[in-house]
Amino acid sequence: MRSASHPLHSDAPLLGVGVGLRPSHYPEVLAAAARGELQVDWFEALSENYMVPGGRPPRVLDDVRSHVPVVLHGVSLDVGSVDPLNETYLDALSALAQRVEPAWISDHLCWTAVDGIRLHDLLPLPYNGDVIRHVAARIRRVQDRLGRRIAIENVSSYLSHRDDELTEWEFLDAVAAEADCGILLDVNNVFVSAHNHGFDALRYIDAVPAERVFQIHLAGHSRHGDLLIDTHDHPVCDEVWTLYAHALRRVGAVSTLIEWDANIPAFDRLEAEALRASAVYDGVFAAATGSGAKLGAGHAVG
Amino acid sequence: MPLAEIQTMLRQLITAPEGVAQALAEAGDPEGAVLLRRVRGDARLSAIGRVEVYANAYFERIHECLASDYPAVHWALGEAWFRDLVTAYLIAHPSRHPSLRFAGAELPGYLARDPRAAPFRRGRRWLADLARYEWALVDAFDAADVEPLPLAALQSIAPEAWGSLRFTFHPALQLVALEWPARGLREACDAGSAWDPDAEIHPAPGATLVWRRDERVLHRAVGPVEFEALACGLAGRCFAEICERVAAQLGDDEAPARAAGWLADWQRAGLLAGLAIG
Repeated sequence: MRSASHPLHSDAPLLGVGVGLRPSHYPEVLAAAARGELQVDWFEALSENYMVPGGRPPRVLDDVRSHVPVVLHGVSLDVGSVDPLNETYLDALSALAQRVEPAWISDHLCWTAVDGIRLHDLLPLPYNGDVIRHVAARIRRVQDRLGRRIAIENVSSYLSHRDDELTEWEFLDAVAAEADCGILLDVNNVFVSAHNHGFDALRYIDAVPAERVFQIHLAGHSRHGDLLIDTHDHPVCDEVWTLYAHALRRVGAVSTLIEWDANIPAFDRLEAEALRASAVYDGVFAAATGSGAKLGAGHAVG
Repeated sequence: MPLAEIQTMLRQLITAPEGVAQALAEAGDPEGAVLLRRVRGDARLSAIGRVEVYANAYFERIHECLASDYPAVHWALGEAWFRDLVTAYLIAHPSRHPSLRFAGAELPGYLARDPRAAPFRRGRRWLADLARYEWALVDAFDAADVEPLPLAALQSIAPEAWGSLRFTFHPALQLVALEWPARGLREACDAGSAWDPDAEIHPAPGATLVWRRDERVLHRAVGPVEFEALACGLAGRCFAEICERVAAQLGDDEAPARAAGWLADWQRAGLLAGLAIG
């Protein structure tokens, strides 16, 4: 829903409010889609789950894609590793993108493997010039290979490097600029990392280059001792909703996605969370423009 | 320190089976000096504690994945032994594939042959068979899709061409030869039965057929002669050779009808994907 009254900065399409596509919701999603009663505007599919030869997951994804837009979101592109980019993985991602025709493709600004061993986690990089050049060059190679710009997501982190010479937001900005890629701004990750490292989440959000933000992520987290952990097993907390409204005022009209990956509730609970995101969005832009225009979560977008 | 050294150091600590603090102690660096030079700690949590967050997540994520792929192995071993198995397995076979889907690919072979798996095999000679059967189910789930061969394709074959017919099979099809009743164990697990640690499990040599019809993974027992016939077909032998193999077991009189009957069964079940003459 591109609207002159909504300040739209990035060149990514505005899809509305979506949720992550998870196997436990397949029956409900397919039934609602067939009835034309989906209460969400789009889905984000975890790329690796669909890089398989056949069977139910690719069929479901094709079905969902025939009804609503889909975005591919990966966890193993590994733009931060010193290992060579995995050509087999890139082939599979490229083939999946041709099949799904996603609105965009995203992965994380992190490293996940080294010496050929996969940690299956999103580890923070040292924030300095050498790493900016290393990561940006790899993102450019990926983009050349896929023939499109990708978006990189800021991760939740639990450790920081003594080799840091920049703040995380300066690092994110510099990598995105040098790679000329988009950003997937995970507002919950900003909140979690701000707590874990003692920085100001608002300062981070205020520094994000609005013109590069393709998408916003929202999710729940858990407290473990003195740290917050990005567990995606709770509703979005009040502080993150407040931060989301601030981010929207900062970056303008951006597609938003609710992630929920553990203790996954019934699909209608997830839809309710998406509707809340839509209401926050509408509130921000109604206040900004006086238009009262609506975004997504069941509304037509185009 | 180059990025490569930082990543390797963190990888070694995160994957250390005994935990981060113990790994540092065993390396003669109990204070973690090598880590502290590179990773910050603070009053809330030390650098070692922060790396332990990743180490715990590494183990728990793969444990969850393997427990999902091998529910009956998990059920039969119990949580404590299964956690020990995951720990030992990851030492031998750390994950090397971008997708967790393949993290458990080496577990059947590890349980069957690796000397380090001996403690898990002891008193459980059936465990490797059970793992092999469960992995066949995983592989069948997302094998490539093909259109099953329609009955009309078989009906259209001229009688004189039957002998030289060769078949292609659904990519999900697996013929699993087992010494132990793995299929029954998995069914008991799926049914929610309680594991009986005192139950004696006896050898039950036989074969199981695993395949997928549309989106459903299916399985059934296969008798020894049908097993031979299917294995022959999967190896690319022609129908005449399949009949010969069957005749060697059942005699010339019975073989053609039995082979034709199985072929019809395979077609009805969606096991056949194509055929070629010659």
